[in-house]
Amino acid sequence: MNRLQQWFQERDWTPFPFQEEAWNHYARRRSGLIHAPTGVGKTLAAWGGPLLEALDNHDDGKGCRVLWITPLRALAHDTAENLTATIRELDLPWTLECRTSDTSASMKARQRKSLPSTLVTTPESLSLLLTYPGVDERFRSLRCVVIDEWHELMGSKRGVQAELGIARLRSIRPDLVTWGLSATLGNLDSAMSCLLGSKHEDGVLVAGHLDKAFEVVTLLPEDSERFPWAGHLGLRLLDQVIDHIESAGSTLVFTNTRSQTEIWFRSLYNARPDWAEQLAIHHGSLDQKVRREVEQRLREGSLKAVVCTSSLDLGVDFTPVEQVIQIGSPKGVARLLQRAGRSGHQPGAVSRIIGVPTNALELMEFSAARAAAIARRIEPRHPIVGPLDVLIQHLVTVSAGDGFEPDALCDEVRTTHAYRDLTDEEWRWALEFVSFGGPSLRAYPEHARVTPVDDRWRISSSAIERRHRMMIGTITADSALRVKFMNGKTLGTIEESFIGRLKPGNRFVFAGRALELIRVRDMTAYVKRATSVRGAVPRWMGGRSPLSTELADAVRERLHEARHHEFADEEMEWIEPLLALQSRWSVIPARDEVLMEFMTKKRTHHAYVFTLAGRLVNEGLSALVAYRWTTKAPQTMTVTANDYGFELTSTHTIPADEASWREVLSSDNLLDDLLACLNATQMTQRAFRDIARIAGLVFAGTPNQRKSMRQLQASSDLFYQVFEEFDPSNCLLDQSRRDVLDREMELTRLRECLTELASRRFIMRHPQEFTPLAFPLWAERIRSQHLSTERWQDRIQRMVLDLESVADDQRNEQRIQPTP
Amino acid sequence: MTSETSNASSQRLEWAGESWMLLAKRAAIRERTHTAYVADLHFGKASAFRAAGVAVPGGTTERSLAQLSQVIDEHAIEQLIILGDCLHSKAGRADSMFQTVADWRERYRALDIVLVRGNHDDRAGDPPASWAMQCVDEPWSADGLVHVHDPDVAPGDQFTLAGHIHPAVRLRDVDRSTARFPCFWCQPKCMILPPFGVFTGHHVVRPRASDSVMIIVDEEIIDVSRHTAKSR
Repeated sequence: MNRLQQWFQERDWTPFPFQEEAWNHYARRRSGLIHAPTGVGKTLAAWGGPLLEALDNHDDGKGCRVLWITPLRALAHDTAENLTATIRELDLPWTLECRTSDTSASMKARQRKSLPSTLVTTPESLSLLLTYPGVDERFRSLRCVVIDEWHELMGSKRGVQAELGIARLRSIRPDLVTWGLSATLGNLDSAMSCLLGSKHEDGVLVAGHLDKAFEVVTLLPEDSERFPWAGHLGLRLLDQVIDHIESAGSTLVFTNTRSQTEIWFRSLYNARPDWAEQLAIHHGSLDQKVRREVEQRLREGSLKAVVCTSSLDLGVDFTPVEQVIQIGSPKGVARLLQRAGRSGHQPGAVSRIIGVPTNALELMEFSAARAAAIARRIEPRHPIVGPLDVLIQHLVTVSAGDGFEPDALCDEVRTTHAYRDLTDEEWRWALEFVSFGGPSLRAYPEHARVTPVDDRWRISSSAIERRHRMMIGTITADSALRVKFMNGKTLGTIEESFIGRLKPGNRFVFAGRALELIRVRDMTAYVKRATSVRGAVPRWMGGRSPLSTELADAVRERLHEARHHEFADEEMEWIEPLLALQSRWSVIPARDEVLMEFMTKKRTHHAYVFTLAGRLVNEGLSALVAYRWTTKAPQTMTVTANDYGFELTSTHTIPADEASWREVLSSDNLLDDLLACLNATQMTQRAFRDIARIAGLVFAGTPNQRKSMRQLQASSDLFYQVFEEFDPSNCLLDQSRRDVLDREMELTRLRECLTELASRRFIMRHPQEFTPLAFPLWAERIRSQHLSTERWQDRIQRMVLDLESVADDQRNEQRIQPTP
Repeated sequence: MTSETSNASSQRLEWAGESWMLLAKRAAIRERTHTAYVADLHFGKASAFRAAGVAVPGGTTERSLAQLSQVIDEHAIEQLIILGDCLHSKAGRADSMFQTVADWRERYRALDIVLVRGNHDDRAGDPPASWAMQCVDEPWSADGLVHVHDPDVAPGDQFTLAGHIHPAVRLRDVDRSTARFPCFWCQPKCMILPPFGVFTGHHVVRPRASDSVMIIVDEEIIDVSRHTAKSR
């Protein structure tokens, strides 16, 4: 029996077989991926190997042995506490520290001289560590890298940043062992490739507790009630939610957006003032201190309920949680399972999730999600391939550390999954871009972030170095205003776009409190408690997640069954009357059909196309189709997409014959049409904002010279225009087009979808009223995009000066111009 | 204040009791004196970014100068008045850019150029002697007009030309989509010019009903003064 098994025994625990399996692999210096549901002991599975090794070697812990990378800095603290506890209880002479953007400057300076035995950090902070000279020395004794929540990181540019960082470490320590921890994914092989790069074939896959039982139940509204088709927040199920919270010890109430979190917290609070001390709110915009306090109380079991967003999807276990409530569709199978897994931590317990639909169609989504989860049709995470902006940032990072020799660094970069197919041309372009700004800048020697000195490429000046460090964190667009009481207590952060709409004296709800805005100064919104609770609820960006392909397919299946009068469960039975209405006014689309509905209201023509392909694909599809229609006849079309389909509106008639629709939905000429359509929208320009930030074109400024997000965005737009005009072959422009095609329009899925649609039967209907399927799209048109092939000069004739949205403009656009 | 409504590369405007020509090339011409007015050139802004290690493509100064040449040649301009922000910043004082402008100046030796110093000029310093510009502080009065960079400095009761704001307006279509265009913002007493520099942004302003607004769309200038929200 090893010391760790003994440690388990002292606590009357037994290690799970998958944990011992992982330890054994580690002992043989193998790398790999551990996948298991939340809260079954993945941490100890990865941590045990290095611990046992240290015990065996009587390791004194001088020098850094383990690097533990976590996606969220908020998780770093808890992880550190967990890991420290084992070190202490095993009497290991190891030190453990965190290094995140929250770490004090003095601690960071000390860590630069000597790292603790275990360092818990984020991908950004690892990158930052690589910018200080002495990298080799610093990681000389590193044995192991663990990446936590790898499924969360791998589909993002931060995941690529982590891949590059680890490749650097592997060059320093070729025998480095890497372990990734992941929830179950539909594409574990890709997860392994991204984690281990060129060494992925040696990786071992360790699976834990995949058979954990789960249960999905849905709250059904009273039969007598009329249930809205779309848009309602589902507060009418509040009483039922309260009953469930009352009946359990401790409940997590998940919502899909931060705004919904605020609304539900407020409503629960008002309905049950007696719970005031036992109710809490948790989301990513809240101040770290506030969040930690909530997490601590959750662990102690002193909270009745916490209303939260995905901020509590990840991370350490909250064993006392007995029940999980999901407000609104989970939109994905993996997320449903992840959240369900937050409850029922006792061995053998069942993970139970209670679904609260916020509109009738969501009942169908819960039903479909349960079916897909039982069939284990779990979503994959698609890794990002070859982003040049991240590579450019990495080049500057490495040049600031100890410099690099281009050929060697190129080989190293190509060991990663993200850049395994990097071409010589791309590599040369990136080198040129950091050294003299790319081919078009050859004539300007004054621009050089990186300069070759005797074969080694080094950063050009300490000023550029300082600025680069400040920018590294910017892969996460974390630009927001602090919300602070006048007496100094910080509540959290909030997007400028929301605060910008408020005037001093206006009230809003944030962090579960009613607040009144006093003034905004120095990137801080000063507030005081408001006496009345009425107020706008902040809207955060990026709140809505699209239905995953897996779930969309499952929903299509449910509709198909309904078409044939099969209603598989009580959720489906409940919405039977609604589907009957759809049937009466139009038709319920079967699996092998595309339903199109056409309608004319107030001289505006509407076309609805129900693909059931998920919002992302529908967005791409609708833009493409609108583009193709508008090239046939110059006009302006408004497009709206949701998970079920899309709507086109125009003042021109939209043809309703099958042949023309087959043509606009054809996959011929797809790429050319999409690129043309990107030019007609501003999508590329928007994607370029992130790229400009990551590649270091625009910067947030120094702490004492704060520059708000609006200037940053505007100047990236300006950069875009200048590049387009003066350097059209710039690879970053190309990347922004690729980013939109791959990430936003999901080109691959779009192509598949078009091919698949071509094989379906087209059903054209002309209902008199908005059908149950069409209504949500109609109700959502406020979020629509516009696509026009008319000349500006013609459009301007009917346009009016917009004096109302001036406030919006000041937020989104540049004031005068940023001074570097 | 009256104006013709034709979509073209220039718009005529009666302002301050005389005839003006506003160009899509972002210059205003006082026809009686053959004077061209431009604002906010921001020469050296691209160089300043490059000096800070940010890769801005070259060619912006050349583009500005080429447009200036067209204005001067096509309208037989005898005097050019720059309403501030000729140079962007100290860091942008690059030799190559200085030389490019000096060479251009050589071609237009006979032209009289006045620079009304703006906030950027105060920090960036005056242009080199080789550019042969008369540099004056705002407000600068000449020939019945006041010239300023910052319209806040305008005396209010006298006809004034200004820059600094980088004005733009937003127009809304019937489908609620909006678009933003740089503009000449002509108030009864003060005319604010759009920035002439290529590498400059804009700031959306809120004109009054009594103002004339001429927007720039590609190569055209369009009067949108009467496009106020009738629908509301």
